[in-house]
Amino acid sequence: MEKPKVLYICHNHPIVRPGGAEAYALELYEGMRQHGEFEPIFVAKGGPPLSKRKQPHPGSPFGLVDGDPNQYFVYTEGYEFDYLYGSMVGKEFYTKHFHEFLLAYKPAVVHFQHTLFLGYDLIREVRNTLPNVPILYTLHEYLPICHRQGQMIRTIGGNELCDRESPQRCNECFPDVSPQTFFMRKQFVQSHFSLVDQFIAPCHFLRQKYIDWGIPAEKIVFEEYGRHPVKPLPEKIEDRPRNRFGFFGQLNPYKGATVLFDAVKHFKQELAAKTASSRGRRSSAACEVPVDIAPDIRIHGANLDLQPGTFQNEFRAMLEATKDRVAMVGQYKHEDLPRLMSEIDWVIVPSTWWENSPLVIQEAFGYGRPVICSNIGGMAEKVADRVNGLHFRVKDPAHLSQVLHEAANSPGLWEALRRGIRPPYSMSEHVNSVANMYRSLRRRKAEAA
Amino acid sequence: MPIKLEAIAADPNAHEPRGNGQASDASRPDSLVRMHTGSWLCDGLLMLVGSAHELENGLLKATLTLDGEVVAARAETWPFTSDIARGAREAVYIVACPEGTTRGIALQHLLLGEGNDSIEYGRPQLPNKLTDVGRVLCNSVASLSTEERYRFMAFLIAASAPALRLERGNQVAEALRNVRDALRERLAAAEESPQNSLSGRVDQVKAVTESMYVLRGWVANEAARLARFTVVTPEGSRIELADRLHRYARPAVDAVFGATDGGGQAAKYGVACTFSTQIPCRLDHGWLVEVVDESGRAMEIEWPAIERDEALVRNTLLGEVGDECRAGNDALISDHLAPALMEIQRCLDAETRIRKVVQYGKALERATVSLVVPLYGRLDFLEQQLAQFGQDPEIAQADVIYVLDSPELDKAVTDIAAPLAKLYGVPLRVAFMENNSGFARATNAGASLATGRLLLLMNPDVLPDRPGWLGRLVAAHDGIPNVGAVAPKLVYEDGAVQHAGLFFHRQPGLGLWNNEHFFKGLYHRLPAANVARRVPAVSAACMMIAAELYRDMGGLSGQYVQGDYEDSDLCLRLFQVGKEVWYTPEVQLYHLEGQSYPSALRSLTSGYNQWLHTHLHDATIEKVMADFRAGEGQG
Repeated sequence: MEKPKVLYICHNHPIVRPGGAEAYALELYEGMRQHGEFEPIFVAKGGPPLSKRKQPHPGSPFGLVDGDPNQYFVYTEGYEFDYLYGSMVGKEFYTKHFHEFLLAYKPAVVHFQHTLFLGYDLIREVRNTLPNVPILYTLHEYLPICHRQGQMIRTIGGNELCDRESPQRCNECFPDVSPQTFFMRKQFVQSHFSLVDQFIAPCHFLRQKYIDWGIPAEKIVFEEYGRHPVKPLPEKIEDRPRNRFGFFGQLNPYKGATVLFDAVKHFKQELAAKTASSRGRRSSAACEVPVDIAPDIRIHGANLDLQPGTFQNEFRAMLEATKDRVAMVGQYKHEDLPRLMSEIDWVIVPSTWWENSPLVIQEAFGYGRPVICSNIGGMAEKVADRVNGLHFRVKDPAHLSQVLHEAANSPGLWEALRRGIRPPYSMSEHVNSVANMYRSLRRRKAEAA
Repeated sequence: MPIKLEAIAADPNAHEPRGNGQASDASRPDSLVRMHTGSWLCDGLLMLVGSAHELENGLLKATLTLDGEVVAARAETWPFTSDIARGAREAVYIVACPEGTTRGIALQHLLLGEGNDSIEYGRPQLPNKLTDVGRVLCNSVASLSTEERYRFMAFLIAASAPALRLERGNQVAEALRNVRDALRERLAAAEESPQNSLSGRVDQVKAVTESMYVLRGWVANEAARLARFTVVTPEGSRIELADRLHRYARPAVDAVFGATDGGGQAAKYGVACTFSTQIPCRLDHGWLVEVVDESGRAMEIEWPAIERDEALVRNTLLGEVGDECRAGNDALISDHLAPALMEIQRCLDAETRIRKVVQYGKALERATVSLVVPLYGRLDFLEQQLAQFGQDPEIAQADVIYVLDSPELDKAVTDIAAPLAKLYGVPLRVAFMENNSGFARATNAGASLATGRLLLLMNPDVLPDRPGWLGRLVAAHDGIPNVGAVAPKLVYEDGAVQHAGLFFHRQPGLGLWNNEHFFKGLYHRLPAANVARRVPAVSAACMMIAAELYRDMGGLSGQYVQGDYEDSDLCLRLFQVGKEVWYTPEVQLYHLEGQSYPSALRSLTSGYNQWLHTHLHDATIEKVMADFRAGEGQG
């Protein structure tokens, strides 16, 4: 008896570009294979804009990912993607190529991880071609809701956080796109989403946002990302301050690296002011004033080259101005994490958008690193302030500077917060839970059919 | 209509020509049986004007004595009623001398016809001296009506046709152009002005062959419909195209001239037409077109020089087909562009020849299978293939034929073939083609040499990786009762399916059929790709077919440009005669597809090839696909 197949569809493959959602998606694929009940197939968007590789075989948009017969790149050469509607202009991409693919594999479950660069229409093609197959869709950010790369940050009012969309509000952010168009965009996306059997939200905050937007609550379940368990790094008793902070993640404007730079600058100014005043005192009283311990920050990040030029320039200038305290380590591989985590004490997640369930938080906790994060959205949900980490006011470098100061200069704090960390949700539990969903959805569909 | 001598007047001084024809009647005056005047049109082509004769043949043997030498020639006659001779029946005689004859000065004797049916002209019946062409025309046909003069031109061209084909044909053509210019009714020269209610231009004329041309231009006929659109060749041929023109929108022209044309339709002043001339035309200058509308407005348009670069003409036509296809101008393609491209492909047939066939290694007595592998552009595949064939005892028993379709590689192949055959122990034959003749013709040429009961058409970049496949393919072929063709699974170097049978998909909008590959790009072990089944078509990259059936079908079609669609074309023709086409995954070979075919050229040719494929097989494809879907239970 052949195993039922699960088809995963993702906008990118981690071997092309690192990224949280795609890394998770591939881990789920691998976890599902080990689980054994289903035979997973992974289809990731290949080629531009993320990769320079071209479609390998004329006449077919599919190309095998080297070494694994169940993994494919799908290339979209010759098709234009409409970023506003999230849809391929040439519909034969769906009705011809994907149609043939679905017929060739006849998956028993289709689980979307992302439809960016591929289009929401894929959902409809699956429904048309395989009418009784459960369709799942994991929501990794707010792209269906927000045209601004799904970040829910407004273009007006200094990148103010956005708490809800409406045609008028979206039009304020994008004056060239009419409210009517935004209305149609929402109707369009929801028309495809209505064909999904089960949405998965990795955080409660995001789940609520989608319910507010219009997905029926019963169709969307909370299910945290699973992580492969890692060995927590030993808590060495060290006679040194806990002043080493690490940033891990995409170097895009919404991940807040620049807030971190500003906080470091702020810290340096404060320190300089204090030193000046203590020098003033020293002349009168010859006692030693304890000198504050400054933070050492290491940036592990990727994809700066994909960002707008102004951001790249701003980033590099700030890095130059704070280079005595901030080291740019660059892109990292997943297998490097134990070493990189051992070189820092804290993980900083200073994102200026809501976030979903940042994988870096789970990774930090896995290695026993307390997290300092913005006090909003998914971050605030996953990190409990003063239990296993510290919150600071989002986009407030002065406050972050204070928190960094406190973290580096409060003996015992790090150890206390480390003890508050619970091991992250494991991949095997997660895979079991997702496989249960597949099973019960299949049963439900079969009964309905 | 038989020629009768009219107005016979007695003349007692008449000299009696000798001979047994009508002219020998003793009662007839010699003024009626003489040549009044004559001239050389050019070397070897003599025009005489004299009394009409009543000999039975239009084309006569002519024996003339020229400056003392006897020359055997042919003469053609064009009788007319002369105004100058007050209504007498006269005739123009065109005497074509053999190649190498130059213009003689003294015409001393002429015998027209032979035996009993002949007329002899001695010195007194011949003009004293030959004069210039203009004077001869003035004294004969110049005063005829326009229509008569044009009829005369047509006769003159027909009579000169053999001479036009000779090496001195250009000289003949120039001479005819002079005659044309003397006799032609001139019209007002075309002016490109919005003030005129009849304007026009010929933008470009492409020579498909010396007797087929594609014209593009525009005529703004604001006032009335076109009555005439007559191409006049330099030699004076007149080709009426008014009913055959393709008219199309030329926004830049249509905007300047009237918004509605003379027929009351929205202006479409563009003109395109493919036409043939009755004889090959080699002159690039002197072409023109006469345009007359129904209200009598007339003009003539001179042409720019004709484009005769073969590759450029072909590629331009291919590009135009692509453009017109996208624009949906099917009539322009089917009536004008495609006939031109078909003619180009037909001409290639005539040039296809095997220069020589060389046997390397020991010739086989008897073989079941003949492998036919065309080589084009790249030779490294030859060794790669032989290296794999060399491990395989079944190949040693097969008739291996390579067809070298790149004449520039003759020496390279000659150098390596013998050592390769020896090293890998594969006896083989190489057919060296005279010219690059394209995939279909090269394959057909190779197939014509085959001795096996079965043919295996194979691309050089199809590589087996272990022995035993050929026998399995033969078994698969012979196991299908009503077999037409059978093809194996072909796999890319990365393990993805390249070929598992072909199907047809109608392109939305244009309605053209695409050839699609089943499961292309997907992993080769995919269960769905591993089912032997009847399919709409298979690839000729590796296709087995009985040699006799292949020859009965006429092989691969040479109508497609540069190699595309020939395989599905053959499969569709097999379907039409009730034969089945099968895919068999029991045999799996590598196919490093598309390594030797420049993609720029493919994108240029594919539009036309696809159009032609659809045009030739539309109904059959519908049927094949309906049958296939029914068989697969997809209704």
